Amino acid sequence: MTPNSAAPELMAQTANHSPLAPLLSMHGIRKSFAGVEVLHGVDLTLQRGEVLALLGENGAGKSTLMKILGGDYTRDGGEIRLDGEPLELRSPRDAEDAGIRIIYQELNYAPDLSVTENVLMGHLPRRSGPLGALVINWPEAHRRTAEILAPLKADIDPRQIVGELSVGRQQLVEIAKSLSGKARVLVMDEPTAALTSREVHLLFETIASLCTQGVAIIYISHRLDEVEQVAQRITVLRDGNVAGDVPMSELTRADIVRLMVGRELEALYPARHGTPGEAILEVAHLTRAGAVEDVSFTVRAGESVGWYGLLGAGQNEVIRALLELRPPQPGKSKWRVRQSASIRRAMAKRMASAWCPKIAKSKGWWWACGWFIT
Amino acid sequence: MNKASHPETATPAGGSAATGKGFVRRALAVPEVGILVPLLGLTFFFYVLNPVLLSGENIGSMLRAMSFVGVVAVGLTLLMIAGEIDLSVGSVAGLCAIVASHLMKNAEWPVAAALLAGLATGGFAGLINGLLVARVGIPAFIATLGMLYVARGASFLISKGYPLYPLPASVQSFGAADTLGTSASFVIFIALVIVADVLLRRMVFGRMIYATGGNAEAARLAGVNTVGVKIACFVLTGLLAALGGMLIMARFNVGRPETGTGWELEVIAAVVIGGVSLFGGSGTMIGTLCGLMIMQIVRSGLVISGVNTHWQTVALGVIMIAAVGVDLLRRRARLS
Repeated sequence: MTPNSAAPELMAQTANHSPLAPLLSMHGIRKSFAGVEVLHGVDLTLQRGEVLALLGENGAGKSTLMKILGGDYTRDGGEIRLDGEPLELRSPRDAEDAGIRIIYQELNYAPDLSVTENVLMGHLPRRSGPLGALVINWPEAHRRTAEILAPLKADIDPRQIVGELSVGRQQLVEIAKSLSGKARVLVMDEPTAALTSREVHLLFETIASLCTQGVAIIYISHRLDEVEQVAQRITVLRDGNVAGDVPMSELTRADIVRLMVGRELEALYPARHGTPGEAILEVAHLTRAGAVEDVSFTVRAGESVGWYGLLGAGQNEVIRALLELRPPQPGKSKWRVRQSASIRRAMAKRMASAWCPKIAKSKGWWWACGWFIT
Repeated sequence: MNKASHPETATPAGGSAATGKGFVRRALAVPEVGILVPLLGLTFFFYVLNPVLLSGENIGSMLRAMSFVGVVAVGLTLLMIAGEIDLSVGSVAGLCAIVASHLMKNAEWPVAAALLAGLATGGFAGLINGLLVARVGIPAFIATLGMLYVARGASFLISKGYPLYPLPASVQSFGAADTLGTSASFVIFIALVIVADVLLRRMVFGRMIYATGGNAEAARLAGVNTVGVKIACFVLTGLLAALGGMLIMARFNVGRPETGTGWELEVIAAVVIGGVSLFGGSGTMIGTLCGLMIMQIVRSGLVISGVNTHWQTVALGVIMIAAVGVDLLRRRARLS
């Protein structure tokens, strides 16, 4: 095909498709790692101004698919079209230039730098005039950052050092980062993990206002109630395949779970068995300077105890303080295990193995924390 | 230049950080304080011991003495903020001094050409370091330790182990010149400090260095060419090591193969005392300048107090550990 003959054809095609074409379409996306295929030809479409929930169990391929969209991984097969035009994504920069922004699950910030620098990283405004392109315009940078932060109503000073902010605010900075350019497609991977309910509410308002501006959002979350609230359509991945692509209104929560897991679940939560026995671990007023303050709880035989709290609330610190098995700080905390010292040591081992460490940022266990299986 | 355009990244913005946690903690949270307090304290201490410390002559000689290592420290500051390290700076400085003096003395190249060749040697060594670390992925500690040996061996091979002197008259007169009461080396050093300070605080490339060192992954995803930034910093470090080596060569009018021995540790100590994080992403040029001054004050103070020179070495080690300790305390004060 010569360029001459190709050009009119291509134009005719775009002319035909453009008004109808979805904003983004990914078709037949394949990806293998070390010979193992993890995406077996995944399709995904996204309309302008739409919130699409991308669901699936851990390992279903959501992150891989989004990393391909973000230009972080290159696909082995399939095609991506933006506005009906084929899109080549070789680097994160390519994706960014196309208006695709990914808010990764891990907090990806430079802790020693200011909010402004993190939000505008790689895009700090420059001065005008000769050599101006080499020099940063700081007042403009701070002003622009304040502007981006305004709709999030986060009360964050652009000059503040990000490492000094609370985890929730750090996540808002992360979100602000993706709003800094002309985003057309915004991918949010577990964006609410560390947010308080008020912050979640503000995030949803921001999402709604972005959608009215024609931005399309891919929303990844394990919190089904949030998904129901925010998404108009759901695409479910299972083992690297699309298990379903359905409008939200046609689904019940049970349907969603069935699509994700691939079989009927008898109940969302299995029934609890057994009755808790005697208390085997009693912790009273556990305190460790700077980490844990006055924590008390009891664990009974045959019982599992879950910890719940926002990221950084101190769940891990409690476990860590217990596992250290140091003598309690005099007068402040006491905790005891009702058996002898040797059993206590065995217990520590068991606790250590039962403790799911919060590799949270990478595994998405924003809630995880500690389980005693006794 | 506009004063209002300070990035203010180094100092926690205003009152927000100071939430009444006690004066000491708050004071520790301001990075420059961690460096200025010991600098002023040590200066005062040695001045009381012997006021000669701050005589015009001694100040001149201290400034002269710190400028060689200082030039190298400018490069290493950039590199360490980018999150990397270069152990080869001392022997690269020596190699470049030997290359330049060999070319101008034995090969009878024009002085300017020989100096350029010396610079090019440093830049090339830096480029190799950068490629090995940022492209190939060899840890900087190993790659540049290797370069340390290679460059040191090469200097002895080129010079056959003998010092090369006398050097051409122009070099000699440059090295001995009394510029602005100190030396041309010091003027060059201060000029470089100012350039690097502006670069780090205001220039796009400078902020790319912080972004790369602060979180390479985030910087990469934001479109910063982190590999390029690191390689550029290695090349700059190599060039400045070359400059430092050739300045000391000019100063003493001799190319010695052992020039720069131990500089890597001195430079790293100064940079670290000055508050550059070993993990990259934070630090300032002014901090490094203070770090260099602390080292020089201690050295000079001990000399004029008549203390055995080996105590200097001990003292510098103690100061370096103390500096990093203060840095850790500062970070903890900030986090909690």
